[in-house]
Amino acid sequence: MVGDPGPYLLLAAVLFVIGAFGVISRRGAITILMSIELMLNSANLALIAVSRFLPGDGGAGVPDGQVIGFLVLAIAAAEVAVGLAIVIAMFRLRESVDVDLARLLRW
Amino acid sequence: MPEFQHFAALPTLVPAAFGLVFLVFAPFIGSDKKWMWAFTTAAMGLTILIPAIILSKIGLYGDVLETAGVAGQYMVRTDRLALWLDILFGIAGLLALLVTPAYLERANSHRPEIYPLFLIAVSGMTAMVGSDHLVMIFVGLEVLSITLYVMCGLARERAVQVEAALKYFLLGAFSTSFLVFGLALILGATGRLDIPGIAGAVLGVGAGTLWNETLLLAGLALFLIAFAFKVGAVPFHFWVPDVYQGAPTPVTAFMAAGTKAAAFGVLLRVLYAGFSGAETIVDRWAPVIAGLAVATMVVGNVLALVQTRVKRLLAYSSVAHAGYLLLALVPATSGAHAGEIVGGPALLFYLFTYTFMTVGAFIVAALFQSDREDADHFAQFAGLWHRRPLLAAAMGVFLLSLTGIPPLGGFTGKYVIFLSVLDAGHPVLAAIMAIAAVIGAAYYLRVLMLMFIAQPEEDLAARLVTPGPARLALAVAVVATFVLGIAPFVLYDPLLTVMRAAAF
Amino acid sequence: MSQNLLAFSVLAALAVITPIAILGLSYVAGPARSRRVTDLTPYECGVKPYHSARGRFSVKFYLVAMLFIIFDVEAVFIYPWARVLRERAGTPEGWFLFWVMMIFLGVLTVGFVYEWGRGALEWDR
Repeated sequence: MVGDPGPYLLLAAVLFVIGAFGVISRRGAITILMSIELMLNSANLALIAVSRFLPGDGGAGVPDGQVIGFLVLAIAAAEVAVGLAIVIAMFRLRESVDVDLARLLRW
Repeated sequence: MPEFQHFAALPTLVPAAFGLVFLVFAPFIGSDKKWMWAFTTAAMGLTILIPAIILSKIGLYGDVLETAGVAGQYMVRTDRLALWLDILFGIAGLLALLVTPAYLERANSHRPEIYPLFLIAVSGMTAMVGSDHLVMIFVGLEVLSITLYVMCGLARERAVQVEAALKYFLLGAFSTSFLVFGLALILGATGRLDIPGIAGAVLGVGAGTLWNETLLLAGLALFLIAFAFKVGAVPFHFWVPDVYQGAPTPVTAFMAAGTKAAAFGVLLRVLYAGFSGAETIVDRWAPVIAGLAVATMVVGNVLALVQTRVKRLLAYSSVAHAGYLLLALVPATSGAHAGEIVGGPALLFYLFTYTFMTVGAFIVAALFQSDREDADHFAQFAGLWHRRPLLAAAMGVFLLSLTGIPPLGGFTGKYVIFLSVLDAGHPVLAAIMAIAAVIGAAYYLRVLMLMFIAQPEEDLAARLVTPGPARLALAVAVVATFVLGIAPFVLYDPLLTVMRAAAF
Repeated sequence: MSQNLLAFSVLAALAVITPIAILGLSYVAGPARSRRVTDLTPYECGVKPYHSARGRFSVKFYLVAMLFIIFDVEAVFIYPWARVLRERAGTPEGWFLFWVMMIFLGVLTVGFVYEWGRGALEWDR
């Protein structure tokens, strides 16, 4: 390691935990989706931070993490599109996006 | 060693290309989609054939990690492990496809997209297991997962399916973010994301080349959490019963067999080839896997006892089986193979038997589909033997095999895992596995008793139609279950020599 | 570590103090309440809004946004590709890179043809 990515990883971890808390505590499907996005983007921040501080390329870091960041962005977009489609389908059936109302499947 | 190079990517490219081509046609064809189904099934057959041909070129026997070909700097690395699993994915997809038209007919759902989506999901699975790079594994996993979210919720007007898709999506995306964060930490700790690079860094744990051991372990932990979600291991199993029950039954069958095989293939490769180098690291993750396995076996089997629906019962049974499979991943503590995953061949063998018996059982459940809300309730299965003896016999074979009754594949599979766990020097774990399997016998027997002893409902026979393709799928599954039980060596011998030679 | 942590804590402290300071200043220095009625209306100039802005939007907007997002984000790959391609233009590797992107765009086109065929691009449906 050239330099120390510690603070960035700390920030990423804090964002990740906030996102995870949002997923667990919220009931609106859209809010949960946003929390998941927050988690994915905190992971992106961590990826880019560590790739900047890794030894290599004369102290400029290795590009791996940044390239992966692109991939994660694109995949997250595809995931969110499918997720929103499912949420809209749910809304058309229920007139609500409250995940607590999704209770057909129990026991 | 023949290097096919770009041929190495064929097991992934072929299903992906066919899937995309067929998908373009999906919006433009009417409700008569027989040819779409026929072409997709043929393409799925081709996706079984291609890895089989490559495998026969490099020979069945030999090092499991011997490379048949590499493309794109380790991004695609096709070896025996990948080829065996590619064949397995194709089989799972093909069996599920054979029953899909009958199911869609009965469920009154007409969406031809579901056929090409099977192919795209298979391409995601093959990308996952046929790679030596964690990023490619991630991309493959996402191709698979996103396709499955869509397949679950394809019938938008059915509340149950949309609900299953929503739950699967939310928890799947949640676990994905764990995986990405884990990748970031592993990259930070080792500077590499290709498995040989990680293995090199892990070897240097004591030598100080590893930047930060804590970071590596945290990354591995997040990676394991993500994959525990995907295989449905306790305590990350909440989505399994709901999604398996809500999803279209052929998709459930495909999901139960295929996703599990892909995730376990990745776990085997990453843990064995990536994180087995240093004893200090192995000592950290081995107890985690063992703990997950025990919890999964016990909780899965106990919760299955109180189920009243066949699909939900099979879902909990699938959780329990994830436990048995996890047990095969626990590395040996002592002896000549200390620190190695001796259960590798047993794991692969059990994945094959599990595919045939669970897909078979789900196919029978799919034939029960109707517009009724309680289509897969136990009561519907009562007296099946008196009305449809052949169907009841097939279901009986699958359930007995899942229980682990001797001459069937499920018994041999459990037996080789049991032996490998003893081999690895974990008698306590082996005993827990045996107890869990005995608990499991109770709920399978409940269904069997209902089918064979109880008196049938009146309208049962009239409602059950078994078209030719579904019969073919059931026959294949039954025969394979018997063959793997009576002559396990046809599959186990190649797998075993393979792995022992590779110091598995 | 400690130096960076110091920088981080300073940043964190600033992040907390700045909004409090701004809000406090506006509370102290800003007008306690609006003197004229028009200041309270949404556009502050007398133009009256038709109806509440909190009404529901048609689900079609979400649909279009969703379709847009996918194609928009894929464009992110084209820029780094173009930079690399310029360095290697004319070489065999350059042609390989060229066709890789053509295949990628072809896959995107498959998605586009699909959504067009499904009628997702028609606003009045």
